[in-house]
Amino acid sequence: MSDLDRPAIGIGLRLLSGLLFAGMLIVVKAVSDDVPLGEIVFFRSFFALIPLVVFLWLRKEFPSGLATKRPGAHFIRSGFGALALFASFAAIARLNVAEAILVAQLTPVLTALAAVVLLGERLTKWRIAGLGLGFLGVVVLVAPELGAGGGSDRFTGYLIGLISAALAALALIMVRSLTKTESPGAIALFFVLASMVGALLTLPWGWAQACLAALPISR
Amino acid sequence: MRSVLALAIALILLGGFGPMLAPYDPVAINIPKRLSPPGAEFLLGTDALGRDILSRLLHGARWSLGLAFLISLISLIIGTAVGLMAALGGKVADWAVMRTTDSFLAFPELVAAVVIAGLMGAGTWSLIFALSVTGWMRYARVARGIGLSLQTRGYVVQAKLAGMSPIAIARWHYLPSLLPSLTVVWTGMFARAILGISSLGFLGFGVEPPIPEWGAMLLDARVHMRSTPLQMIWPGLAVVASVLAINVAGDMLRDAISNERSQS
Repeated sequence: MSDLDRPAIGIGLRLLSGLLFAGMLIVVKAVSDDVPLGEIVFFRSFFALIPLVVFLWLRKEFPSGLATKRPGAHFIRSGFGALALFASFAAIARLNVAEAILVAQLTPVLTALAAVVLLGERLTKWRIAGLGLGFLGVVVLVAPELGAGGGSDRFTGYLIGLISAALAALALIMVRSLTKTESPGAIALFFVLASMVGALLTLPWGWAQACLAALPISR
Repeated sequence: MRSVLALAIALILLGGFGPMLAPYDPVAINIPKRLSPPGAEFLLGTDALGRDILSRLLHGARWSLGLAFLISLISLIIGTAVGLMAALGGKVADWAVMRTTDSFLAFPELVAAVVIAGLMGAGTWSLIFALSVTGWMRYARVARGIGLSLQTRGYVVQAKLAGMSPIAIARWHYLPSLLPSLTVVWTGMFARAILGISSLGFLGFGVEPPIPEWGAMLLDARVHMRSTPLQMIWPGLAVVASVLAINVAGDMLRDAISNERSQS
């Protein structure tokens, strides 16, 4: 029986991934009052690095699979990805988690648009309609919240969320072109490393002494 | 291959010039600023005595990497000599030497090192001694194995018939063939030596305080782990990064060497 014949495991893993991802966002929101953005991004990447390296090692892709002929493309992709990560965490800090996720739903719409512009994909009537519908969907969900007050901080939050979605879309486009020659493991690893380095650059603006007390649960 | 060279140069630069980059004196105590979080003034924060962690890390690089280099070099020399002795000395010498090596190998490395360092008292020299004494066996096994395979080669037989002394044979015919394999083993042992130094430092058998060594920094930070865990992250990260980097470089070196062999 091949791996493809076991949908239950696939579905289970997908659900687990969603749960863990939601957990991460909740924790990011919880600590964002006390812990600077750079520090959150650093440790988010730091702990992502450990299972990633183990996984690559088990698949015998580490370090041989990391050799690359396109360091520049990796650099651009990782830069976009890291900035998108920063922006999305910054948006989560200013908005409710649910709102931040709603704005992030623009990513696929923007990816499709960027694919038209950058990769020269054809834009058919149906696709335009689909994109418009997707965009409208986000607007419908977000618009009432925009009028609900809360001041400029919320508006900034939405704006940052939008920027994050755009950056994530650009990063996805780059991933598409990278996957033709590069291994998925290398793409993921370089992204995580770039996020860590980018986060370390925020050290001069001060980090907090993060500890368990920063989590609201232990208060 | 290029990345291996780049890494070697980076480590040498870090050991050589790292301390010059340090913004503060690594042992200067500044109690009012103790346990500061990272910021513009102290990039990685300060420890429980207000000493700048970045400066201590950079100075510690010289101790951790330098001592590891020294220790792995001493073990390399001992191990190669022992292995060649076994390969060239005949059946009885081979048996005696290899059983000794096996007995040394039978002890868990770190436990033996802790016992030796504990018996000799904490200090830099006992640290070097403890880790060298427990680290040479791998070289000996590799050197003996390759040495035995060389014994029947034409040029070695000829050298023996021509009356060359075993020492000259070892120097001119064995060492050149041994070096590539021993270099690969050495990278692994270099990484293990960094780990060993840090482990002994963490257990309190390392270099004398207040010398900033990565393992000792971990030990100092442990007391405040619950309130200021960041303090522990930096030296830990330094150890992990250098050990991982050296191991990866060793793997690349091994691949490069075996490629060259299969091509020739």
